[in-house]
Amino acid sequence: MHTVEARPYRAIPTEVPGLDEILGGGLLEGGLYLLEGVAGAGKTLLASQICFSWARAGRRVVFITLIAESHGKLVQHLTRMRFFDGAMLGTNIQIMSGYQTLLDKGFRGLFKLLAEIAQQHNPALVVVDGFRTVREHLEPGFTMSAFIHELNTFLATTRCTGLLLAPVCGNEARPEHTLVDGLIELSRHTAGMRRTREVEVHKLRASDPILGRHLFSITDAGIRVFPRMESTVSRRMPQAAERKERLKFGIPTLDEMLHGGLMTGSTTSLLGAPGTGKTVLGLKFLEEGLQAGQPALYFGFYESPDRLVGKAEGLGIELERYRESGLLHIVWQPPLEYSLDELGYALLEAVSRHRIRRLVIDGIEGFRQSAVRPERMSQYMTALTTELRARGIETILTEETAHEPSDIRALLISALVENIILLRYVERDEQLHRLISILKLRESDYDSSIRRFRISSGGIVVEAAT
Amino acid sequence: MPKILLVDDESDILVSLKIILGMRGYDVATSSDGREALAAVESDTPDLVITDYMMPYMDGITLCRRLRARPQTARTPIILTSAAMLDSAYPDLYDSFVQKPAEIDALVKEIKRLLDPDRD
Repeated sequence: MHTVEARPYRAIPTEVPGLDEILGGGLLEGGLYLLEGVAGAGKTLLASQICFSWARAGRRVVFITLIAESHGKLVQHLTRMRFFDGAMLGTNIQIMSGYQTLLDKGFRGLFKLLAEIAQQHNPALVVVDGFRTVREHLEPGFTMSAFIHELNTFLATTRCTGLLLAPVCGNEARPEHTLVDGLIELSRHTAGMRRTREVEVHKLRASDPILGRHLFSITDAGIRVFPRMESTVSRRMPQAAERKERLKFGIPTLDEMLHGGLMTGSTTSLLGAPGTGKTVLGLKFLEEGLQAGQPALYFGFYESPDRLVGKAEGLGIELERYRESGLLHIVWQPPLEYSLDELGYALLEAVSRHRIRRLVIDGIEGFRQSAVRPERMSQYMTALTTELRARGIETILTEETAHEPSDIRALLISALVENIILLRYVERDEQLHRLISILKLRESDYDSSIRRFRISSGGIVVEAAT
Repeated sequence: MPKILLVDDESDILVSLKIILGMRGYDVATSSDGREALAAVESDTPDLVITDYMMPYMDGITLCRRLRARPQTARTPIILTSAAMLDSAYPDLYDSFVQKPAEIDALVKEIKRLLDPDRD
């Protein structure tokens, strides 16, 4: 007797950045997926991007339109996308209309058309754009459930993946929701005058998706999904790097107060009112590492790189030569309309690309301003600092306080970091004096005295204890 | 009145071009795919064929090949249209290529050029 065992269905990556992570690997061969979204949400674009990605990998795909954009317009709109490759059209990508078949021959006719296409082109993926049209042409005695059920079985047998694109129809449960293998929704979120794009996987059989909403962007590179930072980090639970060294600021008295410096892989918060010297102290920390050959990154929101370097040079902190040699990297993200996760991934990518050892994130207010869902901030910052710690990066975060911070514990960052250094002003003898003190230093003793410090063209000087 | 056979799986294109070309003085018959078109030319030979490339059942290139193989349509001018850019892919099988979305004036100009008996 000869036995033929069933092959498991493999997940094929969509290659849409970030999407495979939330899908738990990709789309299953032979799986039937429903991609829903409001008009203009990006359904056709996402499906097209997957088509080109699969076609580039040598797979054949067929894009069937019902009532949807005309093929000419569809292609014209796609030509501005960087993933577009005209040579794929008519070869690995076929675009066809099934509308007349549906009108003339109904469900059965459309089903037969799909079978014929499968026979003729042997596609790995069939996209049906305008699936709403099928709903609108329900025939007596033939239900949507029956159609989806038959289609699902057909695709599973031919190991062709199906992607149906349809608009969302409120919260109404539809039979196809229960019968498809996966349900993905594209939506938009409004916060004030801002709108963000979000993707959510409601259901995915035989996969382990990251549930909940994730932001995505559309640029000429196509769709990029930013899996929610807190969800991805909590899944991996990265462990902190084991290296234990002291990292100095290069300010002798401060390093003494820290009993030798900050511990590697720890996160430090520099708190202080505007103008107390947070940025300058952060830059000094970077300079000290640069002198030892450690790649450094300044990630800020408010000062352009040239202005920042100029300001540092005026205070005796030499950064330009390190920037020129490629050891110092400055990422400037004015807090305009970036999304929270977009910023986080830009930061982590820069850290990986340049093998960063010392990092200053100047002004976590920049993240706060980018958060269209402010309730995420605490978990988001926990995830980001956990990730940086696991990568063994010594991170300094600056956060603005009132002139006399009444309760440091109420600040967002204080619970997330191992070390807290507070900068303040005091008025004495009709003069403002800067004060520095260490409020918290995990895994180490420290000098808790309050010291005066000066910032001048000669550098930063922390006064010794009197 | 010159007879044109218009072949496209997008029914809205068939409807629009049938009306517009009709207003420009052409007698337009339509088919939704290559197989339908081959059946149509059996009963009535057109003066010119405009066909889409990517269609179900039989694509435009296969249709061109079949038309060229029939003595009755071997010399019938053919305009291939597609959203894909195919101008030099199969030069012997069709006489002209017009990329979609086609501008009507450009399409009519090609029709007139191909129907002009002195074009060669």
